[in-house]
Amino acid sequence: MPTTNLISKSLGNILVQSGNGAPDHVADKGSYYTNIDTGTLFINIDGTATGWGPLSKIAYAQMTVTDNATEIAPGSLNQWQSTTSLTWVEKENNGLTFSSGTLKPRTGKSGTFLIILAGCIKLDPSFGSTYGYDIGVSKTGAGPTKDLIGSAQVGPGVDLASIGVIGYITLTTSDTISVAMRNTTSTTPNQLLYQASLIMYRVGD
Amino acid sequence: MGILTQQSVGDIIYYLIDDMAPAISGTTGDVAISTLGGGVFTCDEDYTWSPYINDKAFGSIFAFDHADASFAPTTGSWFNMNSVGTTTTWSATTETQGFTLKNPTGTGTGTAFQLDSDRVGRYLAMSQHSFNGTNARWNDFLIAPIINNFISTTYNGGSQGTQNPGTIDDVNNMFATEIYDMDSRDLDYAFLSYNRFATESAGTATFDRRHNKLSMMLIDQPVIFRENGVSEDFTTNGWTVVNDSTNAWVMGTGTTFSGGGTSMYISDDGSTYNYDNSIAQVSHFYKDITFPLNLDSSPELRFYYNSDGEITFDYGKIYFGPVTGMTPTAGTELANTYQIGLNEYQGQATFSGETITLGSSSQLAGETKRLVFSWVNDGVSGTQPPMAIDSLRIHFFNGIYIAPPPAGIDIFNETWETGSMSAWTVTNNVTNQWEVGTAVVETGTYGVYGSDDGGTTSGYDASAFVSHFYRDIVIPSSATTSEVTLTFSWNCNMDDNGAGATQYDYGTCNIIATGTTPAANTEVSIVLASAGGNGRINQTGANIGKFNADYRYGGTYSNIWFTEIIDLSAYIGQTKRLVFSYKGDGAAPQDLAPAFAIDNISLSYQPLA
Repeated sequence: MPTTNLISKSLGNILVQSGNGAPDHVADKGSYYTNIDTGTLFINIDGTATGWGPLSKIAYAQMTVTDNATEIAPGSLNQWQSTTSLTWVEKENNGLTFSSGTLKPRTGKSGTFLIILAGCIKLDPSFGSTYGYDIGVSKTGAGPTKDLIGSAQVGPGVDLASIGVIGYITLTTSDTISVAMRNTTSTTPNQLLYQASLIMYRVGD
Repeated sequence: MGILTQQSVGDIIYYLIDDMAPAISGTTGDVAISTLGGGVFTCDEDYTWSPYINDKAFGSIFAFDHADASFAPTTGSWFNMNSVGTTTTWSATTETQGFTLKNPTGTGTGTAFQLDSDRVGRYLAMSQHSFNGTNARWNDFLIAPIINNFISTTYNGGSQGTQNPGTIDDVNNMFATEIYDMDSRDLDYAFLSYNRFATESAGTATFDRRHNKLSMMLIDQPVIFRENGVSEDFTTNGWTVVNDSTNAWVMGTGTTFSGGGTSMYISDDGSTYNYDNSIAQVSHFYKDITFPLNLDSSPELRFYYNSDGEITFDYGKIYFGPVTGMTPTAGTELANTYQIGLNEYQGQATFSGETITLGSSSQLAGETKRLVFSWVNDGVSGTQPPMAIDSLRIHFFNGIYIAPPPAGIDIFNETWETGSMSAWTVTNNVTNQWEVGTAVVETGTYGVYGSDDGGTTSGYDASAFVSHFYRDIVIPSSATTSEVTLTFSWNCNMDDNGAGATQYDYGTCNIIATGTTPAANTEVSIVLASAGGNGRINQTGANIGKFNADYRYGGTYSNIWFTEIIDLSAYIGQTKRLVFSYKGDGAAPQDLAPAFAIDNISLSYQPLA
């Protein structure tokens, strides 16, 4: 949306400005502009109409789980199961709310987030075949979208496998993020998320 | 402290402030620039401000050389990626900014990140590793970044080799990610590490390291009170020195952690880093520190120290407590009530880093506290050198700042400064009783606490007991559009019997019906209250409404005050009985002090904006 209701004041060789919408107007290099619709602050780096960039509003959080015992029943094949029943632990957090294996942006921190999920799954050695699993990042309890899923296979020779997921997701203050798993080759055995770390880092509005 | 100047730009206002963070009732889009912390903030809604990050630091180190590693790690031990097998050649990507390569002690060349001097902060670390097993089977093979020889307790990348992998090409991949605090003045560094937990076959595991990479990115920077910064001048930064006759704190170049600038250290001649161990001495230096009203993370004290001395007799001590009642005098040790960190700083002949969490954000927000460093020696013998302090700073991370809303309407305040509990009814155990006294006080002269000696001290005996004090509260229906808040300070070091569900001795805060009289030696409730209902009402649900500092926060919290803020909006229009209780189960240990203590209770409601 183009800038409307632009109000500008000079401050030495730069301008300090406010208006509605993202900036798309010419201003002196180094000028500041605030989009009063979102509260986001921009700075102009080259004096052109396209030289605006938002300053990075800080928001990030990490939650982790380490559990070598609690298994989750897979339900039917390819059916996503929430891992929020596991004991997730909140680590560093600035701008998000943690609750029982979920993270949610606080007021003013909605926007687009970089999602990094690292984890490993484990198989009970008593199972003699090879089994595939997916781990994904769930938005507000829904099944993970294809861009936020990682896969791994475990079996008699390799019963511990690492999975990584990297992607972006846009969240409002009412959206939650959690981790889900599913069986992809058989409804047995149960799911065992041995360890995992989910990090969210806000990258833009 | 507050707004230095402000300038309207249409519907928004630019504020120049001399607080660490804004405490302003702004409107969406307002901008605040701190002259004290250097931070830039914008207002998200009426009272809520967000900080921005200023500096950039990011990059990767990598190795791609198929180097063999052969080792038999012990369960639970971690190994530097480059400390086993063939030396791996590590490089930094050309995109790296804010880092240099470092060679940690005892490892190969250029194997780790080290921050540039001004890139202190919180880092997102991501690592990936691929390998090909060539000999033995190994299980639970984990990888994680390590910061300054500290590994997080959570390891997020794990994988496993295969049996007889030499006959097949069996490449495995691992991926790990963490958020770490790094401090360039600590000479922190980051590198990758292996760990092998349970093994199914004994012996050495050999594997081919295919590709290793560690990437890091600065995501948050702390607000820092730094003393040994550019000026490195304790004197002009407001520290007060209280020196004994000979062994005195001085600022000088007699010793320094980083090899340059100055430090604070004990000297017996005004400049040499040396103490006279033939005379008894006690010297101090201290400063009062005011924390932001809207503090949103736990401040940490970080510093480097040297202090050899003599165990029990010659040592350094550190204190952090209230300004009143903690004034150092030359030749006299302070009481241990507010001691923090190690019991004695001695036996350390080279500089070592120390990090101490000073308290939670709720404990310290808006508070002024006194930080004291002391040197003590008994004058009999002792080993040089005495204590030296360098690179001292207190830092915390900017969070979301919520400015204080307009003043609320009090329903009641209780500070105990009348020296009486006359506004309350007490039902006590025969021995362990609630008392007004001066033994455990957050502010002012009086507090209320559990005592088994009539209030002289706070504590409890070996009997099983419950004692209560209570009053009825009326939350008016006129508060229909308001937020009702119960606030009180508490202090409790009773027997926690370790963390978990088996806590035995603790305090509680309860809401019950007005027609119910709490009976001595019986808990009034054992479950958390539902919204607007009866039961325990503190909102940290995992603690089942129990107040016990060790249980709730871990560690030793002797005589530390915490502030509890409980939303009672669900009780609007109701008359209820507010009950504070403390309970002992009769099992050892008892008489851990203080027992449950309460000060500065207030119940108020806040008209919404």
